Amino acid sequence: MSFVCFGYNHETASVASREKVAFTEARLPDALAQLQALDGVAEAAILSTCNRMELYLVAAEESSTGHVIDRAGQWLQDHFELKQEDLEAFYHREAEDTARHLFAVASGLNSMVLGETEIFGQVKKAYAAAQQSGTTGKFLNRLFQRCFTVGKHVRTHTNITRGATSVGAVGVEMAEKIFGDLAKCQILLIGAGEISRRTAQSLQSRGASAVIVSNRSHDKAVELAEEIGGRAIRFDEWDQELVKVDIIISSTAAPHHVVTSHTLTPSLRRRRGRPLFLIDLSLPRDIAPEVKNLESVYVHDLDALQRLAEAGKERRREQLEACYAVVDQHVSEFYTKVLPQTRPPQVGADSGDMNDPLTNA
Amino acid sequence: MEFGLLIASTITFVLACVTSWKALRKQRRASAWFRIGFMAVGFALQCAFLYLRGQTLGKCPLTSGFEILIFVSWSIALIYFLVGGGFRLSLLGFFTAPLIVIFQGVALLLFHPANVPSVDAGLGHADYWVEFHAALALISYGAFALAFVAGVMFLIQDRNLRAGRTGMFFHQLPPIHYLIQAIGRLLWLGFLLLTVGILTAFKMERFPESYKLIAISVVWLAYGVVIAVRVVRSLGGRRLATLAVGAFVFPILSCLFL
Repeated sequence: MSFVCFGYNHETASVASREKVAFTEARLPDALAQLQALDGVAEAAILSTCNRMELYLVAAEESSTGHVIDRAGQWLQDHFELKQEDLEAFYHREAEDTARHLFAVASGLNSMVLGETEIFGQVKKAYAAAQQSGTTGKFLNRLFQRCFTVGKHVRTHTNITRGATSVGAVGVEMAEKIFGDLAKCQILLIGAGEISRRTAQSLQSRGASAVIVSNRSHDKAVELAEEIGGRAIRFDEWDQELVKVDIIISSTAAPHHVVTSHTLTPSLRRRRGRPLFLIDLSLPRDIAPEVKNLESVYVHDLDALQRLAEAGKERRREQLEACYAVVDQHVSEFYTKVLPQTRPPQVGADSGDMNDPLTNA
Repeated sequence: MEFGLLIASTITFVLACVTSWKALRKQRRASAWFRIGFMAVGFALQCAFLYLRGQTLGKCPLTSGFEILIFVSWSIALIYFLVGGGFRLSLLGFFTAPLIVIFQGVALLLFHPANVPSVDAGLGHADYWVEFHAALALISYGAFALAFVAGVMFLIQDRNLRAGRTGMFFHQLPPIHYLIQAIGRLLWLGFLLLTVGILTAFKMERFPESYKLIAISVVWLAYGVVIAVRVVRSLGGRRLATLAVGAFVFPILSCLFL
């Protein structure tokens, strides 16, 4: 018995290649059944996301991993009508390397955004789909359940998830460090650009509810307000909202400063010391440099946000060694303590064991 | 025995400082419980010390500079546990523990065996209004100390946010909006406690010495001005935090006269 992983990810395959080989949720049960029916395959699971497609297989006792990889490659070629060169983007892992790879994937160490947590849920879904299709047995059950333990362990014992890695996420992080709970925060968008829409949506995803949109073209403001569930106001009215709002995201194409200390000062006193967070996403900048010297006003421009996002990525990269130490420890335990308790499966035999709680977990 | 309890308490607070510093360097939150645990033990030891000292004296142990400093340390820990927890401010304990260590450390330096009261010396008539007055005044110092701590935390985080620094403290310090609220409430709490403390002086059988009353009134006035300025001029967070930090010099100096 040996584990095999066969697939591609964002590092080895282009978007065009990734589009060719992807499984929708509806097609998974059939695909899993076909995969398990391949010669030498005892158990199978498919992890298919926008950044990766990986087959996790258990080679039956009398089959070699090379044989299983060949069969899986041939099956993918037939299934997706791939050419031989399409398979060049594929990689394979065997035995302990498969466990190490899956543990790293579930921990977000193999993701495009290092340490991202969405992959954990995607691995869970992939496992659930394989379980429901009856293509997992005691080996894959143990492997996947261990990978969930590893994912949690890595996230709680290292700082791999700490620090924002995108402009939007940095904006949210800063806002949370200023206001705490964003549910009571009101956002004012000056300009209806794409990046300000995305940043506003990031803030909304963390609870910010009230969004006011102001744009020189009022129609565009109305359109964006409708899209993100906000309220549109005319461009000459935004300064009247300054007393109420907490976060201002500015992204106009104006060649001059739109927000100046002259605009802000009258409202600051009426805010009674409540902080005001300004995010300047435009070039040339919308917010005058002297604004950052105002009491209770925090300003971050695109450069600063990008610099912080890069710093966040770097900090996560620095955590990789510690994360892989956790992964390796679990791989070692898995092979020395967990697997020896598991009897090898036979080709053609039902891979499930009714007495093993893990089989039907 | 009493002295041993005090040493043990100080060591426990030092351990709270060390564990939280280590946790901060590793950016881990798990050790927060160790810190709280150490601080709780340190506080319990403080209570035991003050109880035994009070038993010896037959009254509230506020008869010397040494005891006053210990009582202020105890007040800081008391306010930290009673009020600080409600603010849910991470790292409040991290900054509070060293302050307690400093107060207790100075107290230990002031300690002299000759100052240990004999049972006979303590058995005098106790005016409960005197004890109430002194205890309230010094507990208010605990609230001012916590406002000082929250002020320092605000200034660090304010600097981080303005400079876009996401270093060691950034992720673990609480949001500045919460810190502003905490500073405001702690200042009010301290001010109200001190006001009641001063008013109780009028109930005492013997009015306190004028220099003591002046010292404590200066503290009351200083914080009264800070609160008034905040209310009237709608102070922003940075100015409020700076005032909360700066004003703490008054309670510290007043200890020289109590």
